[in-house]
Amino acid sequence: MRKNSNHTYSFFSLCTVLLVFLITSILSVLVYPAQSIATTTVSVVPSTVTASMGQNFNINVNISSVSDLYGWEFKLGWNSTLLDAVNVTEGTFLKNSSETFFVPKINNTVGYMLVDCTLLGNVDGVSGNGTLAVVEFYVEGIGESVLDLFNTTLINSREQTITHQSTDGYGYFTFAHDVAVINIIASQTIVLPGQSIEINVTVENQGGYTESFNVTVCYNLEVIETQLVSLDPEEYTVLTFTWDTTGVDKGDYTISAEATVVAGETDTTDNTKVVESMITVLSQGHDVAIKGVTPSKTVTGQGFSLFIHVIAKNYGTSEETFNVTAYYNDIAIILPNGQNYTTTTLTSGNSTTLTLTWNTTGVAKGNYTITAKATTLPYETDTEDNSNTDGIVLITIPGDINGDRTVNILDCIVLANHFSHRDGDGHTPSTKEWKDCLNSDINSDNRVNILDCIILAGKFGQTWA
Amino acid sequence: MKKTTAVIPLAVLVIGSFMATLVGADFQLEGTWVRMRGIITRWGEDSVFGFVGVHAGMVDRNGTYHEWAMVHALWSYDPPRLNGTGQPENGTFVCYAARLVNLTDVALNYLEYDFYVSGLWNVVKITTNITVIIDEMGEIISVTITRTFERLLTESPGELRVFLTPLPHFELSIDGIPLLKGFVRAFDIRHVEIKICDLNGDDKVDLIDLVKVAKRYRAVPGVWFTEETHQMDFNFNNEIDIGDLTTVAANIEG
Repeated sequence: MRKNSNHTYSFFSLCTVLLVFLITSILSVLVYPAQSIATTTVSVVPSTVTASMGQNFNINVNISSVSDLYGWEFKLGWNSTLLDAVNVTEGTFLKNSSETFFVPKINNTVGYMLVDCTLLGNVDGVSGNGTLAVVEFYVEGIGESVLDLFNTTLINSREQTITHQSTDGYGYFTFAHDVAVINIIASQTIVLPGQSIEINVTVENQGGYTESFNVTVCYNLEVIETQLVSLDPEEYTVLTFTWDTTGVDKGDYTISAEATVVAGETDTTDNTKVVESMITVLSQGHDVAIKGVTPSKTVTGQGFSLFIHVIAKNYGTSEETFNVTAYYNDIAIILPNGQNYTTTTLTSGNSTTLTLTWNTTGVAKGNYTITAKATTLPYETDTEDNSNTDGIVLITIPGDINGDRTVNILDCIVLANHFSHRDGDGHTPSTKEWKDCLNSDINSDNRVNILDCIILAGKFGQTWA
Repeated sequence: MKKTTAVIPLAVLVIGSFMATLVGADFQLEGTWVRMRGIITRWGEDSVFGFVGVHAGMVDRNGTYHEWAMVHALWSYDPPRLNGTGQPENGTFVCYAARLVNLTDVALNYLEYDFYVSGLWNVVKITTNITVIIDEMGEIISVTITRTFERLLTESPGELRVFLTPLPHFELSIDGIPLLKGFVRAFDIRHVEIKICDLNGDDKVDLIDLVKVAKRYRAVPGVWFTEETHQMDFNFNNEIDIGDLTTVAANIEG
């Protein structure tokens, strides 16, 4: 009996232990599900890629749920007849933590890459999720390819391998939808009022599908004509558009052609093209105009010279000879030859840039508005554009480069910044830097050099007051 | 190579031959590779501590025989700082380094030596100044290391002589400095290539080797520089730097 009792006791004890174990196991799975299923994974993201032939696309090689990652390595294989790897860059996962060493090796002939990366120095590894690398591919064929992630190795800061799994990606590569305007030519660039010109537009289907699309030609933003065209893959055609300029004001016009974006098209940058030079529509009779007036500097030292650039144009139908005069406020500028004008001759539709020298000797300090005027021609009716005002020039103490009416250290700094520059080189026109550079050439000898420094030094400390 | 490997310990020869049969069949390279590690204990009459590393090959490459050897020794009167694996401390550390720059001969079983390398050697004295800035909590804010190199010998004739019996030991004799002596810690002869950057001895260069070097990045004698680190200094500039990392990376097989 005693034996039986012991057996019974043991049996119940065993059942109790098993029951407790079972309940504990279930609870642990229920309460801590994340910990029990978290596996370090290296994967291609996105897992599925669709791209068109001729396009570039990116994939990421990401890692998740890793702990203490110090170094990683992967190989990525692909179908080399469909894809070319263009670039591999390191992702942010390790790099954001510490200094790293990153080594990609690409073999586009075979179609695989080997990429290694490690932290540097005696530092801890990185934990969590992130991007290990970004790979850019170019699609050069049609078909499907696995983006095969293999031989992945992860090492922790104790130089031990980290158990993990890897997940491949897959790519579908198709023909592209892509139309383009590849050329646009106008039959002439100077047009008599009411005359018609032809504009030839060459359009091409650069994709892999037959496409029907509209081609629209405009002068500035006004539509001239729209034509529908249908092209097979790699086919091109030349479309002829006629622009009747009847009712179009005289002026200079930009002619452009645009092919509508077809469904699925991503390369749209070549859907629009512009005629290289502007088209000038003339006015009947005699008509000249000043199209622009620009001083070479916005600040100049009293007694020194600067240049006034004047763009004059003949919109009339005859060759014209006329005078151009530049003014500061209402005072005509006397040119070095003692005259206050320069004479120019222009054939119909042509323009020229005149450079007039303004010696500011005797001109009082102050701001002056610059104007250029063309003489009115006999029988000229549209005289409104014979005058053009643009730009203000400050006449100040030589050396006051920044125009604050004082020659001080600030002017020295500006000059030093542009020392040895010529004609504003290296600066974007119309920016403050560009203007500062031009104004630093105090003696207008087309270079910022020691002579300008000497002039500034001679006036250092002077103010208008 | 002046003699064959006939008197090399039998076990090494048997293992080497077996490996050559197994692995060398598809190789275009045929020959003998030697790797040796030693601990330097004496410099003339003085006790010193240091390391010597040798990597040599006597190789037939597609019918063309050539031999090469890389030997690099580093020693100091100040052994704790040469090992320098603890927290960096302020101070000045002096060590000496010798490097084979022009090989004359490399041989197994030459005269009474089991292994022999002769050639021209450069010897430098390296003075390392270590400045450690520590905050109030005792945490290191920065470690600044400056090193100066004083050339003691340039292309001076010298020999490395290795004896495997009765106890493995070596002598490094360079004209112009006292004789260096020590014991051989590891000596490996193979008939398959011993890859220079294979630090863990798994017969391939891979990420594990790269990480080993990366972990010791910027280590110099006196700061995080162990015997193992000495093996990672592939460009023999007595610092683990980007050049060493690049060497490993270039040898990782795709």
